[in-house]
Amino acid sequence: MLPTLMMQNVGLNYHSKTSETNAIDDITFCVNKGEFVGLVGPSGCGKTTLLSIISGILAPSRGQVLIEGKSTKDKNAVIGYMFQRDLLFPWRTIWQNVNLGAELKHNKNATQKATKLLKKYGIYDFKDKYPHELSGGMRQRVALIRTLVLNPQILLLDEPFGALDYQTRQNVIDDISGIIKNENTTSLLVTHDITEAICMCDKVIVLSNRPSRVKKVIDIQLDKTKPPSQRKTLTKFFEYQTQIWKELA
Amino acid sequence: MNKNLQYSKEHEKFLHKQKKDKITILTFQIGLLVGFLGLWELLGQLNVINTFITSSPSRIFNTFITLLNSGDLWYHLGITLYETLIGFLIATVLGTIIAILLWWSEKLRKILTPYIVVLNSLPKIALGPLIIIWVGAGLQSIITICVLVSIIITVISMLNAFLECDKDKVLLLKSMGANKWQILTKLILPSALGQFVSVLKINVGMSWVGTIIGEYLVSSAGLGYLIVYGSQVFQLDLVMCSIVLLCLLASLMYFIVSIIEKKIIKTRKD
Repeated sequence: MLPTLMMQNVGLNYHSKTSETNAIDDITFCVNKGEFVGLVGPSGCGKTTLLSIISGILAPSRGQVLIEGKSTKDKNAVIGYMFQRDLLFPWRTIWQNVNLGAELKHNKNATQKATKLLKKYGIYDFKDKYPHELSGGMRQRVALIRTLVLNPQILLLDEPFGALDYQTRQNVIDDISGIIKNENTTSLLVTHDITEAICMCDKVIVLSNRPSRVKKVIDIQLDKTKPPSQRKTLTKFFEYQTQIWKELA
Repeated sequence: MNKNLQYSKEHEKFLHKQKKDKITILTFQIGLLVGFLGLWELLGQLNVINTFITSSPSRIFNTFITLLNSGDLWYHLGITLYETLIGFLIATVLGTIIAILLWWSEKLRKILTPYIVVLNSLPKIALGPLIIIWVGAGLQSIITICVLVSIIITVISMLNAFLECDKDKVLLLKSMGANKWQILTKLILPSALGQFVSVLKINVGMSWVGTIIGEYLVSSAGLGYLIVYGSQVFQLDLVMCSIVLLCLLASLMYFIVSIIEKKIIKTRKD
């Protein structure tokens, strides 16, 4: 079976008036269907830039990005993108926010899916409220549902818990990974938080300093029946943590 | 609010103080106006000031009644209001459309930026005589001046609001496959609505300035005309009366915009 996401020798140069920077040197990895993959690396190594390339917003200088075997150049891929902030539109109700994608694509099925997901994840009663009336965790849940409504082939998560305080964060991590696992959505998580990556992911990709390359791919085998927030007490967790620290040092 | 709710003594005290402060402020606001008008009238009656030059509240009121009875009031008021509203609408709508075009094309924006800067700093009244010659003396040149006075600032503020829109939200829409038109209608325009209301408020003031300037330069009717005419024939009662009417009209228009603002802000909290 084709991998959901295939990055083949992807590279990117930044151009400015005075210089040309080789930001991303050569990145090759793949994400299989249903997998949850984490991307960690030193700050400034271009993690977010990689997500922009995968989502087709930015064209790479070299190499190619294939989603289910098709190049992202054709812009046919359906990609979910979740940001650090929930980015809900304050002038839209929860229902209207969740259906944003459906509206853009004139997709009736997506509207049905929205109803289903809102009911399943306990937000249906709040559908006529405005975002400011919901808590931070709830808003992030709505943001996730907004992306899932379009049945994305792959979900990109860019530090999606970075804006939450510590307490909320633990709950939201369990909540969001629970939903993603339930819906069996293939996901790629970018984070600077190694703990978060180990706890949530099936596979962690460690990137090098700029110009970035893939330094190591680590398979994470932790007890997946436990919620992510409880996996960090497992003995194997510390082994993985030491291993990743070593790679980053 | 629940009426059966029992407030603590401290809270009652707090509420009482708030109410008291509100009454004090309102009393002084009204008192200031009444005191000023009363003093003005009194000094006039006592011949301390020359009411031929300063006019007085009672003379202004009498002039108002005369204008009202002769039917001139509605005629002049109507004309000025018409010019202002048309100028206000054209400037707001056209200015917003231009701002949308400049947002749409970065090239166009870069090309036109120096021209906008120059036009913005130019005192628009300097163009008055030219406009009268080009557009012709009459309503149309007053409306043109009115539009000129407020359109540039509309373009600049609306464009700023469009460009300040959250970049991540634009990315979000792009990742969902939105085209430029959808980004404009689903995100840029709704998120600039707050700024649009402040532009409306600014333009209320600006369009009155434009209309009165226009009427000073070229007119045979309207409140601006009455002011100029009144000063030329030394009928300061007429001048003052027109100024008071202007004050009332401009406040009324501002008040209407404020109501619109409240309606919009109600559902928009970030």
